[in-house]
Parts: sequence; structure tokens; C-alpha cells
Amino acid sequence: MTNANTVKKKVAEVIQEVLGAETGLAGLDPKTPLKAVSAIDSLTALRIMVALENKFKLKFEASNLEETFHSVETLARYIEARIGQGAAR
Amino acid sequence: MTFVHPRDFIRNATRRSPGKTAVISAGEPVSYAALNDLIGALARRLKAAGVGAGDTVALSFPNSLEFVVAFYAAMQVGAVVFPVSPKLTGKELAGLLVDAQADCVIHPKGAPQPLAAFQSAGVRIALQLGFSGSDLLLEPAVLRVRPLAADKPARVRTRYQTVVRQYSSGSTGTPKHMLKTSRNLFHDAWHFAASLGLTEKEVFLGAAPFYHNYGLLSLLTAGYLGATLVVVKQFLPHAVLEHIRKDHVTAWLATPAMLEILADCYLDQTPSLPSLRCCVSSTAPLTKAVFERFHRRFGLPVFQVYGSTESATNTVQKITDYTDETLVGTPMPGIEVQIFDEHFRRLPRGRVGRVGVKAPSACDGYLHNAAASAQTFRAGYVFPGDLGHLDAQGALHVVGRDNVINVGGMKVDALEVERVLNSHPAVAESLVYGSADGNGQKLSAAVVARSGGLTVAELLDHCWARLSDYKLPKVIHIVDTLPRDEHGKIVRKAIEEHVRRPRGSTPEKSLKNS
Repeated sequence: MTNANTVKKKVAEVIQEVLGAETGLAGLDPKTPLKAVSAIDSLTALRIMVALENKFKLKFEASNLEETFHSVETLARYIEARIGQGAAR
Repeated sequence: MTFVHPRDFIRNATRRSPGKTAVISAGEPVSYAALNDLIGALARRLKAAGVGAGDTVALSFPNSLEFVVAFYAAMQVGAVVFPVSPKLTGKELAGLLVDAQADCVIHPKGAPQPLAAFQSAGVRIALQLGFSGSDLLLEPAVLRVRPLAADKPARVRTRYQTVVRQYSSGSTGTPKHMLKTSRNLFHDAWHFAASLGLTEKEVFLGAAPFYHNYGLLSLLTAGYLGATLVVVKQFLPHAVLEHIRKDHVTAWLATPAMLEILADCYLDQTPSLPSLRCCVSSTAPLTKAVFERFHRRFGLPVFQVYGSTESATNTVQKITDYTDETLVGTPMPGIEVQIFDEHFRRLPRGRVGRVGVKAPSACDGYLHNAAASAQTFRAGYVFPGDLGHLDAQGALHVVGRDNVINVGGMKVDALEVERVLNSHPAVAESLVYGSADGNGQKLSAAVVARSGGLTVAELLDHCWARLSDYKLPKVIHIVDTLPRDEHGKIVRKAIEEHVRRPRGSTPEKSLKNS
């Protein structure tokens, strides 16, 4: 499994943990908009953000939360970029 | 204590300390003199546009300098300010504008102008407000949607000047419409400041939404005291910590959800926050777990405040060592809290009953809703729908609530969400409920389909178009039946067990995520 796929898998696991097991993110296409799976309001987005921060040991400095939280893939892309920056950790 | 009309808060503070920083917005300090000038300039533009005494002016802004300026300018022309969430859908906003008989809408420059919705709601004037350049020039774009009407309906008159319209969710399925007077707002700011020992030296962090009663309190208290208000447009944990540190914030009106996010966010090093001496939690119960995580991380006490949109803030307790989940504090100065039975007879200390609050900050009733008013306002008391008791020291303990679901401090009326779900042509009936979610509640729904093929994605699409994001169910179960008692009445408290049963053991089936 590639590193990108590992990040996506971890992102999906974290989101599922926050939203509740019944949301059933696992097995979905990472490009599926999260709002088709559950209603991600601003508070839920913050909770997911905090869980992802702790999982990947980085700080979110998202200026556009809506775009970043579009799907598992967009979140994974953001996290990979942050990890790549190194200094952002 | 001397009564001060809230419209004069900024003018008075300007007289005392014109050069003092009134607002820090987007990192830029604005002095009281500059703020007063901006308010005066907008008030003149409002007058010129035909907005005057008794008109209702809706403000649809995120937390911003624009909101602060528009709030005071509208009051200065004698209008009634009607703060609304900028997240409302066009249909939700139009519904509120109609109910409030709004005459004018002010919203951010550059935002979409839903003129059709404004027009259908009977709005006469729409203005876009923004600032440009370092001089903070006003650029209101006046757009007359339709001419001023000579036959405006008679205004509701109250004993004190009405200055704010607000809505509160309730269990009836209809938002309840309230008028707040100058006296209500003054007393809310005054007894909040007095009970917490706040002074003109405070630097307030304005992170809770100003369109909400609680967020508005930080704006009003800062103005009343002549203190500084740091405007936070969007709550993001690391940015908030930076504001507290850099702007030397001393007072923060937070919600338990905000405290939880700060307690849990990733930090490589816990920042020291020596200036923050008054961290307040309100809008939802602060659980022991959240308090302890926050306290462990930052070493700060939390002032828990209890209140309601109807009665404003009513009791307070300083928590340094969390001992009792039900305790919400002792009444603030000038506020009386009593416990009543179902026939509105006062109960002695220790007995559990309906919580009643008598406060000069409380409004008199709901507009156009006599039935709900009769339930909530009685004999000078407000009954916010809580069950509780007073202990031997006179402190209030809240032990139960009504059917309103508290999602991170935002009250969601289950019936309103059910009405939207039920309006989907493939839905036979639904039940919306709060399920446990860490230390709070998660909005969940069980939906009975009229026929097969209904998907969760379809339902979410349907809801997204009709409800604000915080009112959207986080989890939707599609089931064959709802739990009912022998009389056919839906048993709300049985729903979680009902949807949890494994497929095949009950009539319901899970079509989620299909």
C-alpha cells in the first residue's frame, strides 16, 4: 500500500471514529463528498480536525475548512502536504 | 447602578477614553473614537436610506467589525436590530424576515444578494456593508428593493424601547420570536459584569457568534464597560490561542464545545495564558470530563453560567474543582430563581421541579404565540423548560431538560428537523433525537420510507437545501417502523435501542450509505 493510500485509510478511520461507527465510511470511494455520508457542520469539522491533528501530530492551519473537508481525499492531500512541509509540524 | 441605553454604550466610552482600543478586528485595532465615527457615519446613511425609528434591521454577518458598527448604528436611528445567522439557507432567512416584518437587511459587501428572497419577504431596503483601506471607509451599497411603504403595520409597543429581535428554538416546532428592550440588554450586560467582577480593563475574546444571545453578550458587555473586544470571525483552536496570547485577552465567553476543542487539539507545547482570568462556559452543560481536560492542560478555572435566550444569563459558579454535574451556580445580582411544581406553586429547597427565573434581563413573552408564551412566561417568571432544585445555599441544580437537542451549544428543535425530513416525498415519518456523542449530543434521525430505494444521501441532500448545517442529522437510520407504545404514541426514549437492534431481529433494516 502506498503512503498516500495509508494516509487516506487513516483519515477515513479517524472520521469514522468521530462520526460514529454507523456512518460506514470504510469501503467508500475517498472522493465521495463527506456531506453525502454525514452532515459535517462546523463543530463536527473541528472535532475531526482535532482528531486528525492528534493522529498525525500536526496543526491544522486551514484557511478554507469547507474545501479541505470536502472528502477523505482532500483531507489526505492536505495532511500529506503538511507532513511534506515538515516545519508545520 | 444607573441605567444606560445600549445605543449610548460606545458614545459614552468614547467620551471617557477616545483613544482606547475598542475593537481588534482582523488584527487591526480600532479606537473608540474611530468606532464611534463609523457608527455615526452608518447611522446617517441608514437615515438617508429611509431607515428609522421602529424599523426592523436584520444583520446577517459573521463576527466582524461590520457587525459591531451595524448593530450600534441601527440602534442609534431607533431601529430594532435583528441579528440572524449568516449560515441560514435562503428559505430559512426569508421565513424569519417575514415573521419579523424586517424592513431592511444589512449583509457583507461582496456576499450574494438573494434579492428575490428579500423581495418576497417584504424587505424594503438591502444594504451591503464593508470597509476598505486602512482608513476603514464605509462603503454601503444602498439597494432599494421596493419603495418605502406608507402603510407600514402598527408596531408592537412595549414599556421600554425595543432594541433587539431574537428567536429561540422550542419544542413546538416553530421558532419563538422575542423582543428585547433597552432595559433587558442593559441589565444583561450589567449583572454579567457585576457578578464576574469585570471592568473597563478587560480584553474580551468575541469568538461565540454575535447573532446568538450569548455572543452578543460579549459585544454588549465590552461596550458597556468601555473595554476591548477582539473579534474572531471563525473559531479555530490555534488561532484562538494566538489571539489570547498576543492580544492579552482577559475574558472569554466560550462554549463547552470550544473548551473541549482547545483541551484536545494538538499542541507541541502548551502555551501559557497568564492574561486569561475569566474563562466563561455557557449555552450547554459543562461536563466534568471536559472541564478536567481543559483545566489539566491550561490550569485555568472556568466560570459556568446558566441562562436562556428568554431570560439571558442568570446564575454563575466558579469551577476550580468539579464536584457536581448538576450544579449551575448561584443567582447573579438582581436575579431570583425559584422552583415550581406543575401547578406553578413554589417548592421548598431540595425539591425538584420546574426552574423559574425572574430577571430584569428577561423579555416579556413571545410575539404571535400566546400558547407558548403562557407556558414559558408566568407570574413574572420565565420557565426555560428545565427541571431542577435549589440546594441549602440557594444554588441551582439542573437535573433535566425538555426535548430540545443541544448540539455543541446550538439548540435544535427536533420537530423542525422532522418536518423537513417528512417533506421528502419518499418519507412516511421520522423521529429526530440526540444520541450520546462524547461529552455532548449528536443529532440523529430514524426515517421510515414510503417505499424501497430511499437513500441516506438523498435525505441529506434534501436537508442541506432546507436547514442550516448545525441542524442536519449526523446519522440517519432508515427503518421500517418507529417505536410506539400500546396507544400508538411514538416512544422517543426507546429510539436508540430500536435502531441498534441487529438486522433480522426486528422489522427495521439499515439502508444507510446505500
